[in-house]
Amino acid sequence: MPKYLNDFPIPNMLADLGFRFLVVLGLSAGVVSLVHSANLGDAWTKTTAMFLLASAAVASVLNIARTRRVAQRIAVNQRSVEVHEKALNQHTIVMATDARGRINSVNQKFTETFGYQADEIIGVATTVLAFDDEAKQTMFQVRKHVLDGNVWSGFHKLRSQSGCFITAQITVFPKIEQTGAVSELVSVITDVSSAMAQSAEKGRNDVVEVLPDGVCIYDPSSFEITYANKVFRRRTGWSADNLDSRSITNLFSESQLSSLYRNLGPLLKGERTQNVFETEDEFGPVEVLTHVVEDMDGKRSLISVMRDITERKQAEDLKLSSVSTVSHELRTPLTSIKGALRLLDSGVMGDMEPNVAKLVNVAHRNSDRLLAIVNDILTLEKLQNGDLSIDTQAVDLRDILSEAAESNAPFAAECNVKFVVLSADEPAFVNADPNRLMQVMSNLMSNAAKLSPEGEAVTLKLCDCEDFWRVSVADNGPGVPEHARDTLFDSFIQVEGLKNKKFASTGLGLTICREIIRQHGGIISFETEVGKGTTFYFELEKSSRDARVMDVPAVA
Amino acid sequence: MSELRTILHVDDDEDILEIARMALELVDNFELHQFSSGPDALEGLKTLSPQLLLLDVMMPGMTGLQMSEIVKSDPRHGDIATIFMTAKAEDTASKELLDSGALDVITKPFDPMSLGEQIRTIWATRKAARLQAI
Repeated sequence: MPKYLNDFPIPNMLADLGFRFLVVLGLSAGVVSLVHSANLGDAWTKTTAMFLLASAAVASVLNIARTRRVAQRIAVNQRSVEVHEKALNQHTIVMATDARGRINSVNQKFTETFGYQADEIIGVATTVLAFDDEAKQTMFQVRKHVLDGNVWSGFHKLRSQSGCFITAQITVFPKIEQTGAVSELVSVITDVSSAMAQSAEKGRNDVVEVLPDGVCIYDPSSFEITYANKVFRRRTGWSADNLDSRSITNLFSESQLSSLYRNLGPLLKGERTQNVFETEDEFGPVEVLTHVVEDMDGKRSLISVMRDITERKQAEDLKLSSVSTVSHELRTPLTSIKGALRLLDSGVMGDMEPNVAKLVNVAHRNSDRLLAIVNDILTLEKLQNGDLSIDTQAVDLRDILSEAAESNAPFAAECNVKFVVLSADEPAFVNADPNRLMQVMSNLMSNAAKLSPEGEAVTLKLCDCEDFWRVSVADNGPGVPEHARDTLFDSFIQVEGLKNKKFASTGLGLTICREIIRQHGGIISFETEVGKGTTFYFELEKSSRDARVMDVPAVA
Repeated sequence: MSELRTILHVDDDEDILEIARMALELVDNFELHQFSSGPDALEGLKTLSPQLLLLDVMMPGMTGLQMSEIVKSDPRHGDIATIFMTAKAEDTASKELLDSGALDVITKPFDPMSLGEQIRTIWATRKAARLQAI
């Protein structure tokens, strides 16, 4: 069955000619017979003439009806062609190029997909559509193949006018003239980018779905979830069906949220590519590792991997509590050792030989060191158990900096370095426990003093960071090597190469600092460059002056 | 307020008793009576009249706190003050000791060179505050 009547013009034309011939023949024969019968008066001839005229009339009517029917069918088919062309435009990109690869014509779908208007792109080489050099090479090879009279089908990496990546499924065939020459290359192109992306996403999600850690992907500005794997959904009680309406912010309390924003801030500003922080959900403590990822179109997402660290915490607690018990027991013998050495060292028992005095001094110094470790363990255990009270009040960080510089000056002198304070011009109030902040400062400052080259300065600086005050302690020491950075704040970590033989550390100072700052709702971190130095800093939320004013009794 | 002169010290650790003896008798000039257990000290109290009890807290058999309660309940020793010494430095533990009426809590390890001075300061300030309160 022919699809369109005008696909077969010859039979149609023959039918028309046949009818016309019959009409003319009928009319001519009828008129001749009629004239002839009039002359002869022959009734038979007259009847024959009348029959021929009637036949011609019938043939004429039939031909008119047929012509009208054909016209109707042609009109219907014309509309079908238009619909098909429209459908083709909706679905497929069609582009014709010359033998040199310059674009001769494009359809409407092309302009929609690639963003070029027809008059912008016609005459331009197709290579402008190649995503990269590899795609350009493929284009050359395909053109050669098709110019030889072949058809090529395959996938191409193309680029739109705005630079967007397009994965295209393409068929290119030659338009061959009667001479046998290829006049044009016609490309039929389908944009399969979203299908490919969906397929890739599905593949990735299938793997991520079964990971033992919770994984979620969310928008960096709205924090709305685009994907959450099975473990993540189980921990949050979310169903896979209604993830679209969820936001990562639903998971945190207000205080946790401010910590979350502060942690994600450097990621969103592009200062860091990943960030780790610890928090807690209803199932227990979790460590959240967050990355920023960018797709081909430049759209950014945040991926957070949430790891349950309950067991790790329990192991740490167990380690600490057993160490803590031992520590208590250590304090009693230490009392005797330290007491005896102190009495000897003081000279109340009489003068000692210089060598004896030297040995007593070594023993005394090391008993001090042992006591420092024991005390740090106890402090840390109390901090982690919430047994150490944090008495917050409005504190001006400028006072903390100057007091810290003053009280730690003797240690700086021992290390042959000096503390330089770069304070703020305006009051820098935070709600904090001044004693605990001094403890943090002393820890950071003694580390910096120990690691600074002799004769150099350790800089204490106070910075206004919008909603927070940042206190930093910077040294010109050797810097923290890459491999040690992730665990620097963990217990009993001492970095090889950063140990100072003269001034030993307990390996707990930074862990204590982190706990104290965490209990103040702040963050503590560091920036370092090997060979240049390290800057440790902590940030605490600003408090208004009102907090302090309210503490002052009203004067009647 | 009388000057502090006589101290009764109880600790189950012989070495600490020795260090404290040197600190309080040699560095300072206190009249010091030492015992290595609560029951022994209570026995000694039958013949002694110290102004201050310096008690270790964690002792087997009878803790320093238990001993101080017994002494306080005896009308003959009602005015003897107590200072505890402890290797446990928790805030909560110190609070319990202070609530029992002790003048103060000294944490171990102590500095033998300044122990006497530390005790005298506590004696002077807290004792004066107690008297004022009465």
